[in-house]
Amino acid sequence: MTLVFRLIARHALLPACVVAVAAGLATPLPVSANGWDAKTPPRYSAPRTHRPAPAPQAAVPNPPPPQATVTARIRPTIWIDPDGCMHWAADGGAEGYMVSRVNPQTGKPVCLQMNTCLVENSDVLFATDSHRLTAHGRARLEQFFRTAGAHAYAIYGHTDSRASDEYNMRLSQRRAREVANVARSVGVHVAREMGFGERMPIASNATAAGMAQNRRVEIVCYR
Amino acid sequence: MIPSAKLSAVAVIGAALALTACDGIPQDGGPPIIADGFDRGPISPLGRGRRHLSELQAAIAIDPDGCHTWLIDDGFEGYWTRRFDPRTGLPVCTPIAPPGSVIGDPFASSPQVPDIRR
Repeated sequence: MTLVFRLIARHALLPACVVAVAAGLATPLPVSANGWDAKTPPRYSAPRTHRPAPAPQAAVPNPPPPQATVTARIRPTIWIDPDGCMHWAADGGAEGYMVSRVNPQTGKPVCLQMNTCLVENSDVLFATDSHRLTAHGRARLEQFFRTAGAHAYAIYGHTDSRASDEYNMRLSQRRAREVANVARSVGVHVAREMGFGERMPIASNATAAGMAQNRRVEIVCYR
Repeated sequence: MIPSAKLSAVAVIGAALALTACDGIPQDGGPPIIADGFDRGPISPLGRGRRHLSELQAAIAIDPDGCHTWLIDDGFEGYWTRRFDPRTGLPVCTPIAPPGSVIGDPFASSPQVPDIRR
């Protein structure tokens, strides 16, 4: 009796071992490494074209910077230049101070939309997906550049968000070039010609009306 | 020995500074307010009323790099600030005149005030 107990105590793990071996024998061995098996055809999964999105990286809460000692204060006012852009101006009695007002996020000047010379819808000027001007579009631009009377012009092309970013960048650049060529052909100076593709929308690309607004050529007059 | 003409010029400037000092910026007991949006040149003590700086009129100066700067001389103060393209925020550097040129009247904001540099 004691011998039986001793055996059981010494081989306490034996039953578990027997069960594991039996289970291993009962499990059918895979037919092939890639899972092709007549009984269980593999589930089709589409080839993955993108890496899975990484888990969002949480930002650690940002403590405020230590506060500097205030030695004096200023109460500047806004001065608006002839282009419609704002500047901070202050008079110190015998000194004057002025600096352009900028958007703290983008660094761009803060301007009223009062001096963009012309915003022309691309549908009026060009055939769809083309940088070729329509006869009507060319005539309209020639008329504009002959009569606007500025020192120089900046020409900016924009698209809606259909098609790829890269395609839209190229299309808007070609369209800006085409409009700039009209300007130069009637003898006016082009200061800049640039295409921004879909990257500077002025309306939502979710609606047809918004997309139509985004397809545009902007001309800024440097007077 | 300082020439008397120079002395009187110093006196005139000193008097102007004294006048502007009388026309100080209103304070509220906090750290000193050293500049605000009102023209406090030598005009206002003479009773013409203060102008607001939003009324300033600018000329264009071409800086040594060829870029445009708004230039204002208001009689006592001088201001300049960069001209930017309103759409892209890029500087405007069209060669409409050689660097160092001024286009327009930088003294448009101070027609009746003799400038000490003129």
